[in-house]
Amino acid sequence: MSQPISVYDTHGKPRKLGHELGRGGQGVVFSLEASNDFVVKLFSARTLRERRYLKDKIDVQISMETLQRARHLAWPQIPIFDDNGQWRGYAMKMIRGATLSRLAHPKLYEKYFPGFNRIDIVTILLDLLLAIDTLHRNKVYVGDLNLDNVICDPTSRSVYMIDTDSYQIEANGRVFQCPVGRPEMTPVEHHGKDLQDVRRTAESDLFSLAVLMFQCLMIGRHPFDNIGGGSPIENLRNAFFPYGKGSPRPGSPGAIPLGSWYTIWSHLTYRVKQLFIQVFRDGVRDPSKRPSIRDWGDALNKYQHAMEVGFNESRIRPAKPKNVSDLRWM
Amino acid sequence: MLNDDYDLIDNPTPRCACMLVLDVSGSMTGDPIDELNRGVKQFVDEVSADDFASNAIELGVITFGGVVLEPVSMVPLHQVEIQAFSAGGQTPMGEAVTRAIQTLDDRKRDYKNAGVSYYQPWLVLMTDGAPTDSYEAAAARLKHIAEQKKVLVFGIGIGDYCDFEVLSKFCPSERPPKRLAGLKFVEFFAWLSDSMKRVSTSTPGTEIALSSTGGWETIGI
Repeated sequence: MSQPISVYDTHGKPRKLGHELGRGGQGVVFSLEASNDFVVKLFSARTLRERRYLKDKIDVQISMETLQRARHLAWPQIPIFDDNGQWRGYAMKMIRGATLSRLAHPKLYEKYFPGFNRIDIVTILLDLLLAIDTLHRNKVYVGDLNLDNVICDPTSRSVYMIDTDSYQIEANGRVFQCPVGRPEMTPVEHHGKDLQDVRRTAESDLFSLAVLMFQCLMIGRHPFDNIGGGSPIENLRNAFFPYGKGSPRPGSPGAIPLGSWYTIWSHLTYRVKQLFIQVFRDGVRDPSKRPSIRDWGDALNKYQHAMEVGFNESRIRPAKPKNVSDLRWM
Repeated sequence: MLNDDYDLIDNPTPRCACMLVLDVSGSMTGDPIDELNRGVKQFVDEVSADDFASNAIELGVITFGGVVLEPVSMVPLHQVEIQAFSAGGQTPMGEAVTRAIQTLDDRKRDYKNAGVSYYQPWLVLMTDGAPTDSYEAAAARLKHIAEQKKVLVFGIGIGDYCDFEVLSKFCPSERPPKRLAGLKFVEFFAWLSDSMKRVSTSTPGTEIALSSTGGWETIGI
């Protein structure tokens, strides 16, 4: 299957492809000539062969009007065909911005998100909560939620979710699974299983969401990094969260990594810390203990307010731990 | 850990250590050493230019040519300053490999002590001949840890006089050494930088899909 020069909509109306914008394992995203608003994703021949259900899945997605119109989502809009009338992919909104992997990064955030502080980061996370809430209300689960498939526009601070064709979709009694994922974002109940057969849930998304929010607030640190740990996957299977009361002494095995991580943590509000402790301790093995989107929304709104009025530090890298009483408790 | 090793403290990115163990003995004099230098420089430039890889990859270089030297001691790639190597002397490959294993072990301990998570380190062993020192213990040790998946070993033989039987003793049985066609160092290091960029955006601890080797066809890894 060669790369077409023009692609067609359902009515056979042609549009010329522009340049390649991105390439992934499954296909290629192209701009369209004479359009700044839409792009086209064409699946590779191999993906079309191996995932025969894809067209049905994308058709279902296209029929979900609420999600098509959702401001946060790069959702499939119309099916796309080549000049032989073969289905090749779909068109979606053009998204501009940088991935959250550039925000949750000690060296890159200043380059891609200049002038950002913690109030901005929380603004982004609150917008992300809205996006995921919209999906969950429509029984759509992200599955492969990670820092690379959420994009933020640094000017508007709006969040956009990309790679939506991998989401788990339920419609008319049929479930299209999310076949991809990253182990360091995946809850333990789904480890060691073939993701093609795994049924994602609100709770599994809530675990990945908590990891992602921790990474954004902690400049890229993974919640289970600890002294004496190994690879992120080993750390996740051990699921030892080194923050909070009763943690190992600084510098000893299992403790918070060396550096200013404790300081950064200490400046979060009590409630935000409590939710992280809840999800990364009890919530690791017991999905019902994972805080809900509403819990996070409430805690983050209050955190944002506390920073705006100056109760909490809004710099991304605070210089000193918050105060001594915090040292004792959290 | 060195006291001035701020990078492990400030930068939580999971690391991948890459150790180049390079033959710079007398037989590499002339075009081979020039091409090797060009290839290594290009590798450093390409990985440094990548936002994610330059913060995730650490590079060490050990050379063996008469004596064993460590011109680059396992530092973050964005701190590497590479000098051209010159060729001369015998081939103390056993000692070089022993030192490389030790350096990687030490670095892994630094990662653990700092609480930085890490990928399985990579070790590239390049030679155009055969060791002139007693290498058996070093070879057996490297093969063993490679087969235990503690290090990813690539043995690369250069030119017509490389002893592949000996080189294969350093390599895991599932990934025997490969021959570098002609003096295609630049192509090899282009492949290496592409593969390392993938490591820095993949998930530590899982299998990495190595990039296709099209272009330098005799090395199909």
